Amino acid sequence: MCALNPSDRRRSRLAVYADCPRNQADHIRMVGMVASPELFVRSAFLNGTRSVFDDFVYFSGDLIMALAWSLPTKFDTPITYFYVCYFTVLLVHRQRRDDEACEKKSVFNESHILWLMEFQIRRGLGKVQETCAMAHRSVYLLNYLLILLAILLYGIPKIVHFMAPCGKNRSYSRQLQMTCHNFTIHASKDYPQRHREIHSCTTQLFLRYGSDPHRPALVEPGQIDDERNVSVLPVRRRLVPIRRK
Amino acid sequence: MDVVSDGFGFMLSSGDLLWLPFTYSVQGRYLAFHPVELGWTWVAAILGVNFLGYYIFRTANGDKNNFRNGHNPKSQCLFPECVL
Repeated sequence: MCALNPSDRRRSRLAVYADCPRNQADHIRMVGMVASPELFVRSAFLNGTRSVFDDFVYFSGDLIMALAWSLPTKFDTPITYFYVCYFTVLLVHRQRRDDEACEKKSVFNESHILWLMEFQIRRGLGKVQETCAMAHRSVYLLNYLLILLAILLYGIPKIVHFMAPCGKNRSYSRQLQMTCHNFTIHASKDYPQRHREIHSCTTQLFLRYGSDPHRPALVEPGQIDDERNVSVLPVRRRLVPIRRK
Repeated sequence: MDVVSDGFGFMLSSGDLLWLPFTYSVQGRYLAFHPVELGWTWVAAILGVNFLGYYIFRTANGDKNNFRNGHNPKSQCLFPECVL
């Protein structure tokens, strides 16, 4: 069964990559290896490396154009630079306000996140034997390094949601939605009630960078996708659970 | 459009009538009283700064648009279980 095959995906929620054709496995590897550093570098560049600079990077175009508008007066007087100063103060104030609002939402500490990461890495490494692509080990190691690097750069994200009921009494899932205004980790651990074996327990974790600071992707308990057991997020990707041995 | 989407009130009216004319014209007003002779290097530098700002502005706007449409590469999953 191949998770990349749409019909297989429809037939079973517990799809695996074991029977993937070679080229499709390469596709998985390519997505994992090529896209991740690129999107990480891209997000690090666009969002800034510290949260203080988020709005600065986002609005630096406006700021630079305002500066260019004032530059013809050279540096004879500060009065013409009034708008640049005003906008800078505005952004700093807004950023500090958002950071404080984000601090108040914090429920969990970094040990929770590290536990989650360890779980994910161990599951990923254990999966290498049963899947067809040999290069998955490096993919997971690379992802692990990327997550560590992201947490070093961005700081510990904040958790706003935990333990959501899931589906129509078919299963329940523990969900983590950790978000700051530029950084979101969403993880769900799914326990279907019909299959209580350990191999039917799936954990999905992914990082999402660069969510719009003014439209935070908060997840309400009602916003659970019934079929996929994943909170409705502004992400169009599909999560495919993987069966454990 | 301002009336429908933002609710045209005191802030927008005072902004349109006071804030925008002031911030846009204060440089020209200053230059009218204190003329400044710009060399080619100054002109080139100012234009370069302006185009840099415009480029960043446009790319950031496109990024926002892509994100709202769900096409932002930054929202890709890091793990290969997440099939594109």
